Amino acid sequence: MNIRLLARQLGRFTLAFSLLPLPGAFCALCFLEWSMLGGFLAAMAIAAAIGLLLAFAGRHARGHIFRGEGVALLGLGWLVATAAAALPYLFAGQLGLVDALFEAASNLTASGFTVLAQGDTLPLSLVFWRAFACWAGGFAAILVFAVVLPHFGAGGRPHFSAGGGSSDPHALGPRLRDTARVLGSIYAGLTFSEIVLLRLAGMPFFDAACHALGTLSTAGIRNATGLVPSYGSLQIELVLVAFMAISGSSFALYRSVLQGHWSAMLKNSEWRLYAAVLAGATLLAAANLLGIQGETPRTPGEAPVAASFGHALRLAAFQVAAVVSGSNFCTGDYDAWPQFSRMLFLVLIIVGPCSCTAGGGFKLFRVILLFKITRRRLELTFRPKTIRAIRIDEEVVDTDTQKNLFGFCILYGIALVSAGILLSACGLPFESATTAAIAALSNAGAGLQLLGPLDTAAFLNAPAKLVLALCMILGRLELYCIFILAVPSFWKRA
Amino acid sequence: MNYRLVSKYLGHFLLATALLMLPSVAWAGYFQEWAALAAFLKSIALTVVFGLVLWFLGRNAPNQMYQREALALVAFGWFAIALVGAMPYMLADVLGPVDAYFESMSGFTTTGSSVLTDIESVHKSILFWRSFTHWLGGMGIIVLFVAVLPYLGVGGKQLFKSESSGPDPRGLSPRIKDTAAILYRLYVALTALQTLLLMLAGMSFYDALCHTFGTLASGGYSTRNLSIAAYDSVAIEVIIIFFMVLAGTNFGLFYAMLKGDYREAFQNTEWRVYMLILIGVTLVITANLLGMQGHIPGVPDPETPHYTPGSALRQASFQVVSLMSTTGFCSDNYELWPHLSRMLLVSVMIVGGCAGSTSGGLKVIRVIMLLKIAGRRMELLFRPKRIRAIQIDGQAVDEEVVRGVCGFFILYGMVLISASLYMSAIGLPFESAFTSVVTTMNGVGPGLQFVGAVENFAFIPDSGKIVLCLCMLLGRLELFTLAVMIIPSFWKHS
Repeated sequence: MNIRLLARQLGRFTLAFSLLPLPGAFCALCFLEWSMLGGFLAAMAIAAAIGLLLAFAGRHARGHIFRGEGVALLGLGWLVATAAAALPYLFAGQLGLVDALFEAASNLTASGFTVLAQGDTLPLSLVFWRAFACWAGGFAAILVFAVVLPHFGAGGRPHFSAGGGSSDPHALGPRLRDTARVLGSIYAGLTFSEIVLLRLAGMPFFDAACHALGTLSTAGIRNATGLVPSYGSLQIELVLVAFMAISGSSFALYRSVLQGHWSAMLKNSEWRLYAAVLAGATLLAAANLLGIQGETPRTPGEAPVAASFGHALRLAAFQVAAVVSGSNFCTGDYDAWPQFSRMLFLVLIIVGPCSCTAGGGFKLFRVILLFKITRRRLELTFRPKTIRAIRIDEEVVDTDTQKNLFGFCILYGIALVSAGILLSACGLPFESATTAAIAALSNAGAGLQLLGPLDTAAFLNAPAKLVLALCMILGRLELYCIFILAVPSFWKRA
Repeated sequence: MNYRLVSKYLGHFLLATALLMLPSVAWAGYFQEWAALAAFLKSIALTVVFGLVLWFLGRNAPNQMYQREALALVAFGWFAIALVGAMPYMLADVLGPVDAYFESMSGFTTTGSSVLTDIESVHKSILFWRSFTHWLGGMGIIVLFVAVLPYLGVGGKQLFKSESSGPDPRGLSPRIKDTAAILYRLYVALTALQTLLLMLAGMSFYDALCHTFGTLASGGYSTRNLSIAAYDSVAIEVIIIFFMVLAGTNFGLFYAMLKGDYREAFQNTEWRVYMLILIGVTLVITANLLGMQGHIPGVPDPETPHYTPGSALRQASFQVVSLMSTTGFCSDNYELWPHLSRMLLVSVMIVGGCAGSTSGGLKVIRVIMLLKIAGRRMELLFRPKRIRAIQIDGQAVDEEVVRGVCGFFILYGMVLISASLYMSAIGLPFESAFTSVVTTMNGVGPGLQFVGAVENFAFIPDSGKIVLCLCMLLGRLELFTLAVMIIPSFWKHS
């Protein structure tokens, strides 16, 4: 490991990252929140100072960035960025150190967990900063998934960017810039359209901006009640549903669509599965809300949540789109819904949306691949000699991708079990601990029971918050890049 | 698929099963339970008739057994024996059809989940049959891992070492019949030994025999409502702990020990990890029971009774060994234990015992392999050119075995998720739904909450019981043997 080079690059990255609070500062200026303005500027100054220090420490660095350094840079960079993003919360005086770190980790991973019990009493510039950090983090996540991870051969979807996993150290930069430009304009364009549509549907401008930033990043923004302030307007809910669904389908596909390949979407098996999941889960949840639910002597049935099919459909469609895309928006407390809906949502949280989005979880591409691999393994038990490649959309999935997927599943299992055990050691009951770990690993933002969709994480103790924050970052970097920092031989000199 | 051949062998199998009911007839005579005696005689008659019919249907079958026929025979055999094994419960008016099938399947798969609400009110000879099904199931498992699994490519080869290629370290005969015969003798000898010890510790012959059946098969049916807690005897608990540890150990190791090769046994990685987990988790739970537990303000803790260090160690060790060896005896109501203990108990259920034992679960060797595979995938990120096979006990693990283990893990996750979803659809809350599937898939017995230590499965609706029966059999047959049946091409003529 070339530590000096790592320090230099990390320093440069931190220096660039120190500019991120600028919109927050601008917002503080607009709302005349002088103390917040000072806070943002101080946060920027500290981040810049740390960046300079790191760059100075690594000024004599030599050599190239190889895979090891690249992976370390990604993992450490995300951790440093989290610390830097926590500074504005610290300076605002609202949160302690652990709370600020938790909130920053949740923002940058676009998870949607929050410790801020009363979003409405916060300075507006801080509310905006929260949404903006989510938005930036969401975009970073798309880039990481689309370009960086495949470049390292660490999960992701290798055949998204031309060339696949390459170990050429110089190829990453240009490709990253190119992809960032294209996807960035799509991302920003969609955000802008959602702001306009929400405004047209009757939401105040500031709320519309924050909600649009929260939707596209699949983070979700919560205000005091935890519910989306739809002002009873169906239009607002429809706009949000549409954009949650959009933010959960692959941004790589939008690029093809923009290039004129209109059929790319319908031909893409991942997207077709996504549409089917959205529709199917909505219908199942709607039926469940109308009272179609088994009951046992120990668990007597409860009154239906929704009175009419329309009402059930409206509640279900919104919640399914929110849960699948990993946006923590709610129009109802699904923790109080019938058992089937709760379990269904948990499964959807694990599954997640399409690849190449800011959503978390396994991603549907991986789910399709898992089913195909399992089917192949089953066939091999009675036809040991058949050898056929596994294909998705006519493309052969190479064995390395399959092995990476195995590794991903195993790491997911390890992370889930360890996080569950740690959280229960902190004092969370079985259901809350398990579902919170799942929600954090999938960057979904809400589990069941104590950490349900309307709850904040404020009541947790410090160790539990740190475990959840770590899980969010683990999930965001597709597990590999954080786990690897704990491997001793990773740090040895090559 | 050569149905007639399968039918012929099934016929033979059922005719043999009829003989196995004779000991219960003797007990019914001994206890003068005439209703039960009649039920057993009728069951035997019906079993013989079924057997003869099946044999007659397949009498002219072409005598060529391929992989498909073997797989079908194993799966159907297990379904069929559970069916005829359910008849005594039904004919003696103890249980309804679905309940009887559940009880019987739970017995033969050595799970130990029960639908009996008042065990002590049932005929003693029926209870003997109930425990005897465990013991027979344990025998079936030995055949399974010696004769069937090695040929299925689900990591089976590695699971039972005597079938591995190359010079055989343990000197067990590679020929299936001999291996099975050696293991049967061991099994019977251990049964005699434990029965004797339990009688010395104060149990009646009948109780000792029934509990021995439950222990060595890692089943968990007791003749008492309170399970082992009814005896409240340290001596009995220590004996049962010892034999539960043995039941979770690879039977191949006993053979090595009998031959005086202690080093071979104690240097076995799987066994050492197994013991390490048992001891480690026991110590953590002991500390947890003594009050070492994180607390979150506002979150209620379970009302854990007071423990002295001695009683904490006693209860912790019994429960950990019982659940990790997937036996499922209880000496205490762990439902009242702190959050961490409950989470850890569920975790050890999933890990399970060693391969080549009567226990269920993922198996320790698979967990070790999974961890090594994940480590290997991470190492490849920063050392892309290094290629080294995964090693266990100094032996390289075949690539195909690695894929088999990964495939097993993935299928395990899929079954777990889909069955939990079904259990929640029939009205079970998250914790009960999830742990009822975990406990049946891993062959343990009790779960948490409504299916917890002092609860039973009687309240679950019939469809749920059937799904749980499938989970038991899937887990018992290492998933693949049963899951192949959903592949349409399995049923085609080759």
